[in-house]
Amino acid sequence: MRTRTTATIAVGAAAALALTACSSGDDSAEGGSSEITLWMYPVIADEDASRDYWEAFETDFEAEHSDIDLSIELLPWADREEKIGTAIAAGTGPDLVLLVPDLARNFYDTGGLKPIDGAIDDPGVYFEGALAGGTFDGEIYGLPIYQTANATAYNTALFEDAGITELPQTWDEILDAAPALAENGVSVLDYSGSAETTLNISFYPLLWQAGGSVFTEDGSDIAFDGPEGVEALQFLLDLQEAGGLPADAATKTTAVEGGPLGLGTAAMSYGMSGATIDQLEAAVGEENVTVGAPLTGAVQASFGTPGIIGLTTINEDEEAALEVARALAAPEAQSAMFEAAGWFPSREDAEITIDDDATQALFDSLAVSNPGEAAPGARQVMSILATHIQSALQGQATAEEAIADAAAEARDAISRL
Amino acid sequence: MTSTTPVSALGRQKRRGSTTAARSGMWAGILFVLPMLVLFVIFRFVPSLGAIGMSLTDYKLSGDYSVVWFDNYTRMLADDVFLGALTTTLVYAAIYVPLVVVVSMVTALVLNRLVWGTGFFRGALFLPYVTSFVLAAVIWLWIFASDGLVNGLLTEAGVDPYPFLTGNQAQVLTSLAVVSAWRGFGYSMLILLAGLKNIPEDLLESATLDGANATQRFFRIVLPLLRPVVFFVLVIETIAAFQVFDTIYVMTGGGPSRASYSLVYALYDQGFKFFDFGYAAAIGVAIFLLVFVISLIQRRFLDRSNT
Repeated sequence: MRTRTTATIAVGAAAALALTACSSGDDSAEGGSSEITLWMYPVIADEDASRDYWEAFETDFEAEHSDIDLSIELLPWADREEKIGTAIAAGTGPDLVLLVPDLARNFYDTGGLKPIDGAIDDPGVYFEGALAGGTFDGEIYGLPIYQTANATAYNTALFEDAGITELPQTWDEILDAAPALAENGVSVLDYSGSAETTLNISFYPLLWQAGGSVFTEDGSDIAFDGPEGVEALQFLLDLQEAGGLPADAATKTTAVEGGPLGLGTAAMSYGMSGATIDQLEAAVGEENVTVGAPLTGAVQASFGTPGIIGLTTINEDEEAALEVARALAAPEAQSAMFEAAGWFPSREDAEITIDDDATQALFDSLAVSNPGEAAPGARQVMSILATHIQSALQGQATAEEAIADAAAEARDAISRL
Repeated sequence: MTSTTPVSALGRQKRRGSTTAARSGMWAGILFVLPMLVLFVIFRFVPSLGAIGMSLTDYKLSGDYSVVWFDNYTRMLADDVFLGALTTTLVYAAIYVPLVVVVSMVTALVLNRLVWGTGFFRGALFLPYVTSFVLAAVIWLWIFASDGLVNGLLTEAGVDPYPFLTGNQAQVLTSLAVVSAWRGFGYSMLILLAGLKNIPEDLLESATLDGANATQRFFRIVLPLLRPVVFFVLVIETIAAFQVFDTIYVMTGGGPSRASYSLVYALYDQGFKFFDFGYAAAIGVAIFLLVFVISLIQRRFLDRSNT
């Protein structure tokens, strides 16, 4: 037994040494090529299609750049922030990573990103909003490679069953429609208040529709505690009282399948992307789904954000990383991304063809899209506000109290940055 | 001619021999312990020192930092979120620890009285302990969800759904404590069972002959003799309560409205969501100090009970 144990350890040690030897041998065999790691996420919802797309991208890129060994690692959306942060802190993370503006701001503030403006040959070809999303303190830290859009999707059958012929497009119309749908056991609006749901697709669109903003224009203070913030939360509470929100709105996730939208117990949602619209159509039937414009409160607004590539501070070969970033943001790549994922290009010279109403509605929503507010402390503020919105939805605080409490806590958090 | 050896010389030889054997045994012991000691120092002790050092800085993702001395600690004392997490953790511990100790004690007593199938039941009851915390939490999430198994049955029976994970703090923490107790009671059960096996049977028989009923035997004989073991179980379960994270992370995300936002969750948020590593390290040190103080109190109780 002792001999076997010793032998096992010896074999294990030898195997480890052998693997180390193989690894270093591979490096030298490539004659000093740069290794660039890109962390990519399921922007293409279908797993197989995503894998095929990124494998093809990697192969094509390496064929054109024999001196760069590109490795694209596909990761899930879940816990993205934590994984990236931990990896950068440990010095073992990616050279390039897909981010959204407020997340990029967090990594910028904490010293995790380097400027990426070297990958932009002509800033004029990018849509202004897309480029602005990753620009902090006058420097570009996020290279936009696509642009997301969200529109309003309706389950028309549920509205018809409730005798509602005009689909609601404003807050008032939604409030008016709530009682009739509630009588059928249907909430007019889906809302996700769970801790893991980003407020960018839950509460912030309502705040923007009320005419408010999360932060002041210069980003130095929060602004959600104005009358618009209270109004947006009060809208949710009024809806809840009228039976217009799912019973577990305070804690439920955005899942369409198995959620109120997919089960036919919620009639509409304002935070629907191309992928979630597909899921809704699959769940309740394509013929029962209509996609419309973003909702209107005081103003019409929606969330639509650029997907931006960030260059991490652990990258050691900036030129190689910028070369990869350029390829990701190229017009051909953005056209291909639209075909594969349905996301729109972030630059004017990328060609796309829209041939269905839902995609057209999503594209039209870009005109009133807000990319998210990437001010210092944006993620902390989001986390704090989400907690107090939960309190209000659980009847533990009024809209005024919840917003005031969140504002005090958020200001305290920002003051420590 | 015969030679004789003085008795005193024999004694010296014997002592020399035993000293050599003792030294040999000591070195063997050290050699056996050394690998674990080295691993402990590398993976526990040094990182702990690092965390204490980090708690005195404003360490950033980029590796840049400046020494801020005790700023993170003074901030902690004025931080309502931290103080709320401390309260939540204490409430959770107040629910979880008695629950798991009682469940462990009852199952240990039942197992101790079993005359057949002891091994099977012991293994079956220990099984949740070797189950992944995350897996257990996912299963219980399905059971406790608003539209989950229990609420589905309640609805079928015409009873309103119970907000296991969406209600107030007492409801949510109780639900989480039930899950943690289900998952963790097996270990404490085995420790208590070992303690029960050490209680002399003749003591219990004598008490029975003297007319003591089962309740009197338990409270007058079993529990006093089991006291050191019970205190040990209390302290390890209290430590487990202070370290609760996985179950909360999977089942409630610290919510709703921070109803289940524990100290370790606060540490996780500060460290891995907001990348405020210095403050996160300070929270870690605070948790260590809390657990350390509780352990010292436990040690005092143990010492007293042993004398």
